[in-house]
Amino acid sequence: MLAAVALCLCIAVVRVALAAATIPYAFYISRAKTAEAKAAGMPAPKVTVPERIVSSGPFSSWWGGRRIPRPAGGDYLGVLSNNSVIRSLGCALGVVVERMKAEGTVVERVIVPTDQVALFGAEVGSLMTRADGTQYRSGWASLAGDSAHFSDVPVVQEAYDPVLSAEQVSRLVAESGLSERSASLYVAGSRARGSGTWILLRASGLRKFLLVPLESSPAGGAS
Amino acid sequence: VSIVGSETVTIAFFVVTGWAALWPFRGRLGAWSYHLAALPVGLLASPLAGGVSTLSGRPLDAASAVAGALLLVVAFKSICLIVYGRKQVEPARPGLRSFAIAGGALGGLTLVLALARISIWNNDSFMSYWPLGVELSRKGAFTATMISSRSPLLPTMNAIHATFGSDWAYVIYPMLAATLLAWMALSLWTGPLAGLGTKTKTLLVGGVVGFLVIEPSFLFHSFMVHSHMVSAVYLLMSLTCLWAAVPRGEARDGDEPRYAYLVLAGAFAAGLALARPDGLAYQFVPVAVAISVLTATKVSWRAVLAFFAPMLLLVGGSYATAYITLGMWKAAKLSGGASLAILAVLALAAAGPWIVQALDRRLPFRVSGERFLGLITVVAAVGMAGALAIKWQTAQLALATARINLFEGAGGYSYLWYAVVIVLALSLATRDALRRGSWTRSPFLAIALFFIVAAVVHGTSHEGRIGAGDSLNRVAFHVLPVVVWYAGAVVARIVRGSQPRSSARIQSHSD
Repeated sequence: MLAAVALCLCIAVVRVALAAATIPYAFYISRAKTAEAKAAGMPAPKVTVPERIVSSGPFSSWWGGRRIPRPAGGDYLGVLSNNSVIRSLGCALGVVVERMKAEGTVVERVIVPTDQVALFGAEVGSLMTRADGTQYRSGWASLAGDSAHFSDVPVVQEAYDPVLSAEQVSRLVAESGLSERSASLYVAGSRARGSGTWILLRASGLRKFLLVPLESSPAGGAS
Repeated sequence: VSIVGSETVTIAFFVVTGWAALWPFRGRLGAWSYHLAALPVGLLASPLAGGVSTLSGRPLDAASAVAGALLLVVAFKSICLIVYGRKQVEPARPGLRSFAIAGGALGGLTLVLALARISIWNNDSFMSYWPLGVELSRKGAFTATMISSRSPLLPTMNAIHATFGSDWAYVIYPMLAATLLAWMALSLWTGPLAGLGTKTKTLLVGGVVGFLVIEPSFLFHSFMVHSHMVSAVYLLMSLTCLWAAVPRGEARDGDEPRYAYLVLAGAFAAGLALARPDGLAYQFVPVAVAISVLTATKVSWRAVLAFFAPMLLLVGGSYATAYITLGMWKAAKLSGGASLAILAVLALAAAGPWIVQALDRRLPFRVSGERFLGLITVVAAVGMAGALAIKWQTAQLALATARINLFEGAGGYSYLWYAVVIVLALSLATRDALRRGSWTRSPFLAIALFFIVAAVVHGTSHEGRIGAGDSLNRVAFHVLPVVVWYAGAVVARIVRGSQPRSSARIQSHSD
C-alpha cells in the first residue's frame, strides 16, 4: 500500500519534472530559432518563450489541454475581448454604456440590427442534433437580456447593416490601430459616422468588423 | 490601484466577517483553525446579504453586505449560546499576535494576487456568474434564473465584489485554494498524523500538500472563476471538521470543543449546498457523515443543533428568500418544487440522529455510529443502481463519457484517476479502508457516497460531453482533496503500524 502511494507520488513528480524541463528547452529552442532567422536575414519569429513552453509536448501532457492562467486583461471587458465576443455582445454593450454614463455621457439607447443573421453570421433556429439523437433548435444569447445585467439603458432593434465596408474597415484600422491588437473587441469613437461610441467586433472570414452604434449625447448624435 | 484596493477591501470584508462570526468559538477551535476558517465562513455572509437586499427591495450595496455579515455574526453567537449555554468555560483564546500574523499573511497574499490578477474563465464565468453578480449589486433581487442555474452563493459573492468596486473576481479563488492547502495540512497534522514524530508528520504533510500543488486540475481551479474550488473547499472542510468532532476522550459537556467543529461542519456543508444547484444533492455526503458522528455516542441535542442549525439557517434562509420573492419558480435545471423537496429531506435529516438511535435499539443489528455510514452507502448504491437502470439509455452514454474523460485522457487528468482507483482498491484489499475506529473508514465511505450521488445526478440527467468542460469531469475535482487527504491518512496508518510499539508510544507522549 505504502509502495503504491509512493509510486503515485513519484509518477507525479516525474510528470512535473518533465514539464519543468521544457522551460530551459523552450528557451534554448527560441534562441536557436532567432539566431537561425537572423543568419538567414529573416525577421525573428514572434513566438515568445512562454508560448513555446505552453505549446510543448511535455507541458501539454502534464497540463491536460486546459486553459492557461493569465492576467485577466485588466477588467471584465478584457475577459470578454479574449473570448467569444459575438456571444457576449449583450454583456459588453451594458458595460460600455455604464462606463460612458460614469464619464458624463447621456446614453439614451443602444441600437442593434433587426437582422440578427448579419450580426451573428448564421441563421438562428437551425435544427441541431444532440449526442443521444434528440433534436433542438439553436438560439442566440439575448442581447437586451444580457445587457440588462449591467445597465438599464434599453437595447432596441433597427434595420441597418452592421457589416462595415472595406473602406470603413481601413479607415478604422488607421484611426485606432486595430491591426496591431490581438483582441477581438474594441470600443471606439468614430468621426467618420458622426455617431457616439461604436462597439466593434472583429469576426472571422469576410465579415471583418461589425458595428453596434450607441445613441448618446453630448458626445454625438444617433447613427 | 483602485482594483487592488477593491479586491483587498472585499477579501478583508469576508475575513473580518468570518473572524466576528467565529469569535464565540475562537478558544475551542484554536488559533490555526480559527484563522483558516475565517475566509470560507465569512463568504457565507453573501447569500444572507442577497436575502436582505431581495427582501428589502434595495440593491446589494455596502449596507446590505454589512447587514448580511451582521446576520451571520448574530446567528453564530446565538448558536454558541444555545449549544454551550451561558455558563461557558472558554479555553485559551488566540492572542493579538495571532491576529497580526494571520492578517499579515492574508493581506500579503491578497495584495500579491490582486497585483498579478491572474485568472481563468469560461462561458459560465463571463456570461453568467459575473453578470448575475453585477445585476444583484445594481438591483438586489434574486431571480429564477440565478437560483435555478447558479444557486445563491456565488452570484451574491460576486455582487459584493462589484459593490466594493472590483471588476472581476481575481483574488478570492486562489485565496480559497491556499486556504484549502493550509487546512488540509492542519487537519492531517492534528488528526491522523497526531502521535507521529514531527519529522514524519512534516514529510507526510509536505508530500500530500505537494501532490495537490503539482496537480494541474488543482492549479487550474485555483484560478478558474467558477464553482469548483469553492465546492472543493467546503466539502473538504466540512468533512474534516466532522472527523475532528468524532467523540474522543473525556471532555466535560460545557467544554466540548467538538461542538465548535460541528458548527463549522454545518456551516461548510451549507456552503457546499449553496455553491451550485447540484450542491443540494452533494450536501447529503457531509449530512450522512454527520449523522454517523452524532450517533457514535448517545445522541445529544446540543450536538445535533450544532451541526444542523447553521446548515438549515443558511440553506433554508437563502431558499426561503427565493420562495417569498419568486414563489414556486419553474426551471429545467432546479425548479422551486424540486428544491423544496430536497430541503424537506434535509429538514428530516435533522431528526435523523434520533431516528437512527431508535432503530439501533429496535433492530437486531447495530445501525448507529460508524455502521450508519456503511449502511447508508450500501443503500445509496442500490438506489443508484435502480435510478441508472430506469434511465439506462442516458446512463449508458453518461458512463461512457465519464470513462473517456476520467480514464482515457479526454478530461485532462492523465493517469490521476487510475492512481485514485489503485489507492482506494489497495487500501480496501489491505483492510486499511474500512477498519472501525480508524481515521480512514469515514473518508473512504464519504468518497464512495460522493461518487454514488454524482452517478445519480449526472448519469440520469444528461449524457455529458467529451472533454475537460464536461460537468461530471469538473465536479470530480470537488472530491479530489478528500481523496488526497484519505491517502495521507492511509499512509499515516501504515507508518504508525510499522513503528516499533515502544517507540510509537514514546513519540505519542512527546507529541
